[in-house]
Amino acid sequence: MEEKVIELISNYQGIPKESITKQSDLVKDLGLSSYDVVDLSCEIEDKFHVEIPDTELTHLHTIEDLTNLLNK
Amino acid sequence: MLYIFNQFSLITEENLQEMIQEMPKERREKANQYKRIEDKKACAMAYYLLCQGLKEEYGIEKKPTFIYNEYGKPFLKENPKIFFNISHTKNIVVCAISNVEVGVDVEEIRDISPRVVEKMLNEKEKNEAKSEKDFTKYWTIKEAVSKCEGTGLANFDYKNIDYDKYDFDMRYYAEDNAYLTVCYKK
Repeated sequence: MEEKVIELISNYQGIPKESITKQSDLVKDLGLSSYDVVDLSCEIEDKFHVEIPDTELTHLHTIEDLTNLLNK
Repeated sequence: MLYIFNQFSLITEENLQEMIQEMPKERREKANQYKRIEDKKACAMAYYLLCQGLKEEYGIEKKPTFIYNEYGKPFLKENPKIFFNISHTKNIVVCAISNVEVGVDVEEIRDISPRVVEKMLNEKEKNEAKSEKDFTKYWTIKEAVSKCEGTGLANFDYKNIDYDKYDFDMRYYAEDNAYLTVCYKK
């Protein structure tokens, strides 16, 4: 799952996969804006057939957070 | 009052390091946490604009430090009756300072995902937003209101905003293809 999340974000932001780790911070390391986080969450919902409540977005800081949410 | 900077290319590495060194420890650590140079510049310039604004409008020379609400919104520790908010996009950083609660958002106009339109806009707004510029305007309005309220979008009923509770200042920056909204609580 972590690899799939990294690939998705790599494609979204145009950042090489090799430079993204599970500790990568979505904002500080990967430069995502608030719009990007919402857009990505919509893409993840479609791709992985899940629903991400808005209140969960405030808890999503790293790749690991995203992966853990999807693994739930 | 609004303080805006949109010439990131003019900030050299040397300028950036000088600005970061001038900041209080907590802010310096925050700037150094950012990996991308653009984010470091935005962080440093945002703090610089805040300092300039406080000096010009209130005669405050002392470098501000912050306290945060439960959602992470910063407030001035030493001046709780002066409110501020910051936003940045690729080449613009903006700082709003006010005697009332304030929120600001600036976004680059870009291709918009239909899913995000569906998620963020109510039916009336969907009918009115005909272009990426319109949608970006709505996005910045909603984000500015949620930042004014101190909750951020994720903890906010962004489809049902009572716009009469706020005053707005909305601007389009053609040079940067960006839209900016400032929201002041009435």
